Amino acid sequence: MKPGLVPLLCRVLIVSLMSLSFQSGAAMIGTDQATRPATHSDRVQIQSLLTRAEVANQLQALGVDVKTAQDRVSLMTDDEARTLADTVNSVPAGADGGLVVVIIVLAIFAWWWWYRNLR
Amino acid sequence: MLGGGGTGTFGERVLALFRNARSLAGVFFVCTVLYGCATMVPQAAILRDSWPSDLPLQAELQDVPFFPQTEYQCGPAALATTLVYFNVATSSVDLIDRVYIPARKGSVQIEMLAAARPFGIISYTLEPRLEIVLREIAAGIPVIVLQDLGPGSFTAWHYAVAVGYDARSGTVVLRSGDHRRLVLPLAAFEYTWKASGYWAMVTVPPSRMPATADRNRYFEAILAVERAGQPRAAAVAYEKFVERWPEDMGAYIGLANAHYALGELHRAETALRRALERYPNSTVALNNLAQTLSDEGRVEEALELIDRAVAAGGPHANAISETRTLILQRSKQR
Repeated sequence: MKPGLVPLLCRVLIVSLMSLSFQSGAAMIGTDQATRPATHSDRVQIQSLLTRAEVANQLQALGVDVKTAQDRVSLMTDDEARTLADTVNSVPAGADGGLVVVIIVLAIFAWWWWYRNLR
Repeated sequence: MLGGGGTGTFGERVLALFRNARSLAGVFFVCTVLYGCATMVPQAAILRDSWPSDLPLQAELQDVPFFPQTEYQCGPAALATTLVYFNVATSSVDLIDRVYIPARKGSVQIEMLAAARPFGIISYTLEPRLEIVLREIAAGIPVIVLQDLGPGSFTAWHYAVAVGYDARSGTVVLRSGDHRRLVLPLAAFEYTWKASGYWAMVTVPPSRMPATADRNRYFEAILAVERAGQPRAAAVAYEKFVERWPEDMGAYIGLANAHYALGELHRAETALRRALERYPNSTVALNNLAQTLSDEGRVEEALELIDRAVAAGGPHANAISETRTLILQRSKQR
C-alpha cells in the first residue's frame, strides 16, 4: 500500500463503520440489503470500504484536501466509488465555457438545416 | 406542421451572426462536415421531422438563476443553478469544495450527482435522449448537461443548464458560462452533447419526481440520498415513490427505514404494514416490523412476527435470526 493510504484507510474505516448504522438501527434490514441481499456479505462490505479509501486517496493526490476528500467520497454510492476508483483521472471533467465561437459557427448551419426541412 | 421564418429573416440573422463569428473558413468546413446532418444529429432530426404531440411546443423556465462561471468552475455554477432554483441555500462558490478537482481543473459527473445529496436533494441521471431533456424542462425542471465544446478531436468538457426550448425555431436555451441565455439550434446542441453520451442530470426536491423518472433508477437515486444520511428527504421521496408505484416493495422498506432512522416508529410501523398488505410473506417486512414493534415495547406482537420470518427462511435468514435473539433478550429484561 502507498504510505499515506494506511492512516487514511483507518480514518475512512472508522467513519464508514459509524455510518453503516444507516442500514441497521438495531436489527433492521437496510433498504439496500433488502433489495440486493447478495451484495451484503462481509467481504463485499469490506471491499467497498477499501475502494472508498482508495478514491479518497486519489482525490487527495489530485489536490483535494484530506477531510474534504473523505466527505465527498462518503456521499457516493458503492457503484459510484468503484467507477471513480478506476476512472477519476480520465473521466470527463467539465471545466470551461469557452469556444463559443465554434458553437456560433455550428449554429449558422444548424439553423439553416432546420428551416430548410420545414418548408 | 411547424412554420418557419422566411429566408429574409433568416438572411438577416445569418449576417448578424457572421459579424460575431470570426471564422469564415470554419463555416465552410462545418457545412461540409455536417452535410450528412441527420446522421450527425439523429435526435434533433427526429424531433424536427416529427415533434411528439404530447410535448409542448415551447417552454422556458425564466426564474432559473444565473451563476456566471469563473475559470474552470462550470460544474459548481451549473449545480448551484439547479439547486438554488429549488431553494437550496448554496452558491457556486460554496460548491467548489464539493465538486471541483484541482488537478483535473474541473468537476466529474459522479461528484456532480453526489454533491446534491447532503442538501436532501435527489440527483438523477436522465435517459440519454434530447426529447427527455425537453420533457423535463416542460415539467418545470432545469437540466444539467455535459457538452464537449472542443473543435474536432480536441475535447473541452463543459456543464451547462438547459432551461428552455422552442419547437418552431428549433432551439434550446442554456445558462452557460458567461451567457445567461445562450440560444442554440437543437442540432448544434446535440452535436456538442453527443460526445458525453448524451449525459444529463436533474436535481429535484424529494417531494417532486422527475417527469421521466424510471422506476428502478429513481429508486436507486432515493436510496443514494438515504445512504448519504438524509432520512427526512428519503422518507418524503419514498412516499412519493409508492404513490406512483404502489407495488414496489423496496420503496416501502425504504420508507419505513427512513422513518425509523428519524425515530418515527409509528410511521415506520405504518409503512411496513402497508408492505405486508401487499406482500404478506415478505421476510424483510416481517423482520423490520418485528424490530419496530419491539422498540415500541410490543414484544409479544414482535415475537409472533419474527417467528413467522424465521419459519420462512430465505436470503435474510441470518439477519432475521439475529433480530429474534435481540427481541428475546429485550423481552427477558422486562
